Amino acid sequence: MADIVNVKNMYKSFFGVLALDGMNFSIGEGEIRCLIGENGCGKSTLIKIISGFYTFDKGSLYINGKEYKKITPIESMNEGIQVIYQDFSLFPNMTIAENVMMYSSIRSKSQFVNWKNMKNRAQETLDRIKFDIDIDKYVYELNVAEKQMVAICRAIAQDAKLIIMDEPTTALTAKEVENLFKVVSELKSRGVSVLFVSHKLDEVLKISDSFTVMRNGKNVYECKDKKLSKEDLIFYMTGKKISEERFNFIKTDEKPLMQVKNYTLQDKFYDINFSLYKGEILGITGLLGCGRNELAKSLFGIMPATSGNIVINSENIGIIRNVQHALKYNIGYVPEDRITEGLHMEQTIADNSISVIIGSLVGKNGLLDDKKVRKKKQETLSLIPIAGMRPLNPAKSLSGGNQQKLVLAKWLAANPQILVLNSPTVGVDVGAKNEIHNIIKGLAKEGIGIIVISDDIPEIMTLCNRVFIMKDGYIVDERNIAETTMEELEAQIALEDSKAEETA
Amino acid sequence: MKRLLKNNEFTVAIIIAITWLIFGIVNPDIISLANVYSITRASIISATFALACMLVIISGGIDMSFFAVGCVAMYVTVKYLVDRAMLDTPLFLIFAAAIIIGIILELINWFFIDKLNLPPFIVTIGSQSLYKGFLLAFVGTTYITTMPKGMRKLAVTYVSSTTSSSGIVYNLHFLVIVVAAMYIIMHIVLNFTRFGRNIYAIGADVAAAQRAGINISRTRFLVFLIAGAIAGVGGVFQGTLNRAAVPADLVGQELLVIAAVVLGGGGGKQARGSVLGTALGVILLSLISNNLILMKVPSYWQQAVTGIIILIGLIIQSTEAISKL
Repeated sequence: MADIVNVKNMYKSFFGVLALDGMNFSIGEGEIRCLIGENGCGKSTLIKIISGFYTFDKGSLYINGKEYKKITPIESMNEGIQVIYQDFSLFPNMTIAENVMMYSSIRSKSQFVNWKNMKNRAQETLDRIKFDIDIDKYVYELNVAEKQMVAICRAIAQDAKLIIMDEPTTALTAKEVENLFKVVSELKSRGVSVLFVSHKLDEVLKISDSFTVMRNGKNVYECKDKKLSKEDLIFYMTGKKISEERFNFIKTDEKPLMQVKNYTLQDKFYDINFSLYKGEILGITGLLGCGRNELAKSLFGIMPATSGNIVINSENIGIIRNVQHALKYNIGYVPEDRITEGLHMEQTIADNSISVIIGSLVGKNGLLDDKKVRKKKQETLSLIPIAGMRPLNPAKSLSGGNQQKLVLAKWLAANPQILVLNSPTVGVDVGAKNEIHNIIKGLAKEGIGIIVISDDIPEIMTLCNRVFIMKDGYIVDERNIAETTMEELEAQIALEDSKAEETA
Repeated sequence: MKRLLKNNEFTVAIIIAITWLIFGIVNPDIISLANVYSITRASIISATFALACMLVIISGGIDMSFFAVGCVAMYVTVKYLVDRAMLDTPLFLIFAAAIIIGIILELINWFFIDKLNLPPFIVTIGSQSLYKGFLLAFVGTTYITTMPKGMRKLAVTYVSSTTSSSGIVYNLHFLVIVVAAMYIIMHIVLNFTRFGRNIYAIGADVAAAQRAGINISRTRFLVFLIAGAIAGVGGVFQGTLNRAAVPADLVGQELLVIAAVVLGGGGGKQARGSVLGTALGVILLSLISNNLILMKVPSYWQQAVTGIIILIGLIIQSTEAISKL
């Protein structure tokens, strides 16, 4: 089997920091490979070198048997290498047909656009992977999975030999992931190789033929064995054994901390009823669009419910009308999207840490009390250790995992009694994920009632003691984690999914 | 139907029809060929500048300086000719001079926006003020009413005429045909050339366009170059129809033209501006302002009604906004 890409003993450094430290890597024809590693291990550097966006310092790069001292993005594309980035790089204001043929038509150097020809060729490409959709639809009308298919079609339209996919399953539902894997198998049977760059170990274990694990710019492990366990992979990625114990909830108070009664937001969710106890971690899961996201936001007053009521510590507070109302009852919320909702990215880490409680730091003269502010910043940042952080650097200088820790810290400063965590570890690598889980468990032990909204079933299994499954805006099932297994839970969600399909 | 409602051109066309009908009920004269002629004539200037503005908006930018550019191009050209008593200069040379000045001024915008990576909104507000101030300070502040012969002749070139019920003769101005031709050419460029599609691509997502291998800087260069040429032409049109060269004429009214482009579907999150949509947007705004005058509505009410119709148009186009109502 001929190698499409072969990288030997490659070095690359940025401002004196080694990103690739003697990396070796190769991928053959029709191979499905997964490249895994923690953030900053050099994965993206490697991909950018192969696709021609970075040059390399030392080592050798062979593509289709030809040696390149340096390669431009265009040369890389001409060799049949296509990268599908997480954002897909599609043009929302254009139709599917135009997006699929865009790259080919730019490379053809033709100054005119022949729409009929373009549509025909786009349709042929879609047919090749049995993607059934109206090619005249605009891309902004599509959902994430469909956009991804369009991006794959665009790669195929250019006779891709190797398609590199960056975190391809992050925003997909279980069913869509399955569909993606079908398409990938189809590509493989046509001799196209696929390189997955992914965090989601459970999924890539299912589809990949082989794995390459990177750590500190090196290829630390490579295998073609499908029986590799997840624990082994994590060990190679992080260099340490990480084992997560399940959360063990001991009820200390018979009286519920929060009761949600007939909570309804028209068109989003209906008749939500549950109780949350002190020190409990309650999971809410379900497919994308099942209403979990809206429920989380309504509990914090961002999207106020339309009817129902909430009882906190036996006090009926009605509907949570807005964020101020939620704060009054010490409810904290960690949003899914840290970048736009959770942190002020340009502000310093220290300033971010007190942003929730800033109102309480006003001195007698009505201005901020500088002493109090400084003291509080120190206190808050000591609540959760963030390795290697400098308080005066902007929040965006932190990695995804550390940003999430900062969001947690800023809420802890406000002494919350209830914390709503919306997908707390999305885009966070395994090591940091484990730390965040331990922090959350620690908070629960201190008596905070926690609600975790997540579609990450392994996360729900280690973190929660109870879980609700939502579908079409209703809670359809409740399970005690101790009495269920991951397979059962996944099957249950998939079942709801197939039911939805039948009725649709 | 749902698909059609999402189509900006279609919604604007419907709004035009409804507005026209309502106006017609109030004043039957409005539904007449004479009124069509008069509205098209009133649209010539904004339609020309809207084309330049639309091009910049589709490419992901904004231009607040097009009126200033057009005015400088026209006034400098006319003043030069009038000061030297070169009133017989052929029309095409007048246009050529104005186009060259227009191009230079818009390329200054391009330099700041593309090369220095400064925000287009602020850059063009700055250049608008700069060009206008420069004109008044160094070129002149006087109204010129002795225009070059070519422009005087162009001002009264008609292709067809009709007499209204009250006996007034209405003419279809020749420039209406010229503007229509410009729109058709622009439509072809935007939809059937690689360059045109590249403009839409960089307007939607610069990073993605770069990955696709599009030369961002060159595309923007051509966009500003064409916009400058159109603004120069628009300036001469304005001087022609006005039969006078007025320094810093029009400047300050850019927002109505931008509103026309946005109504036609440009400038939204999707960067989907279209030539037809812009044409309809311009017609709608001229229809309103022109006929409210006919209906003797006070001018402050005209502004309010224009604002209301712009907002209604935007709400109808935004499915998101409809779902929140």
